Amino acid sequence: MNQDLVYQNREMGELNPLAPTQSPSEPTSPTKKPADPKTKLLIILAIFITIIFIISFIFSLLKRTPTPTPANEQTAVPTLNILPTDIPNIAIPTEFRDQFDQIDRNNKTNVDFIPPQIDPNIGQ
Amino acid sequence: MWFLILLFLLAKPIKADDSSSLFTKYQQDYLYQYDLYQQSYADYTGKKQIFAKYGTITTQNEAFLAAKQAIIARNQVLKTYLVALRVMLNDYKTSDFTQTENIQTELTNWESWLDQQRAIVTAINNTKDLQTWVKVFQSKYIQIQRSIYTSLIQNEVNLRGLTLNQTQSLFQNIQNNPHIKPDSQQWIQSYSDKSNLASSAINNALLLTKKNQPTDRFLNFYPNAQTNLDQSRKYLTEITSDLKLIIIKFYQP
Repeated sequence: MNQDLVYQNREMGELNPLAPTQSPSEPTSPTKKPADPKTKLLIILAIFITIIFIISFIFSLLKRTPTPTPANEQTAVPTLNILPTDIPNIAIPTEFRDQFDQIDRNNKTNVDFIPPQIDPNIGQ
Repeated sequence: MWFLILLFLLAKPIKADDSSSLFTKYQQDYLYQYDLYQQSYADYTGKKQIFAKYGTITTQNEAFLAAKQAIIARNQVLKTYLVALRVMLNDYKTSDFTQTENIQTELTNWESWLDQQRAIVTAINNTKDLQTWVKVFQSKYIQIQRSIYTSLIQNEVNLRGLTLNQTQSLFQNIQNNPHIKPDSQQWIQSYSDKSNLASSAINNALLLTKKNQPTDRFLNFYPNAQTNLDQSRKYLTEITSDLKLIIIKFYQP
């Protein structure tokens, strides 16, 4: 008897023409929640770091690629600063050592004697 | 008496100054004269400015006398420099005796000319004559500069030429030495290539001193010659290192 009353009440409500009509409810995703601001910040940071990483990777690749040199470009004349390895004369047999000593001395000798900077126009 | 005899026997003969130490002395003299010239020149420029500002007869006279003094000091600097340069050429003269001797004679002539100018400048007593003399000096100075730079190049050409000869002599000694293993022959071949390059660089430097120069100005050929001489020095250093390596590798006592 009690059960009949319950059903009856339900139908009564639905049959009431003055009651607001209920539109079929739209399905909503159960996980959709407003994102946490901390999570948002983390995502932005991750994107930012990824972009920087990609840019740096591209630049490092560009740097590694050798630039082609023009065919007619002359190579720099090696200067005297780049001298062959200086081999100590102690490793040379004695019968040749004097000659090498003399040659080494000559090779190391600078004979610069800078001329005086004078004014040839005095008295003009 | 015996003590005196002993002293006489033990005494070493006084060695004559070699050219290097003689050069050092003349170089010191040149540097001293250069200091004096700088003082005279500062005095001259100061008095010239005072004359330009006031234009009086007194300031004109003072500027004129200061100019003469500065000219004499400048000529003395040039002379002492030329003397030191001439002495410096003795160091490696044997490499090209005749050419070096000719250059030394040329330098001596300029020294004498500069000496003569001292008396001439001292005797000048008016601005017009002084200005005429300045023009003569300017034309001579073009030739003096040429002599100076030719001397500097010749001196280094002599040194590098001498070193090249020494490497050639050493190379022959190595080649003919019975203790050097025959395997070394293929290494020895590279010597002649570098030797030719060194020789060519030395000759190129020398050729620059013989180029015709304009009469109205001095074109400095020294930097180009120096580049060639630096090249020759580089080749000579490489040759020396190569020969050392050959000996170390192939010498069998």
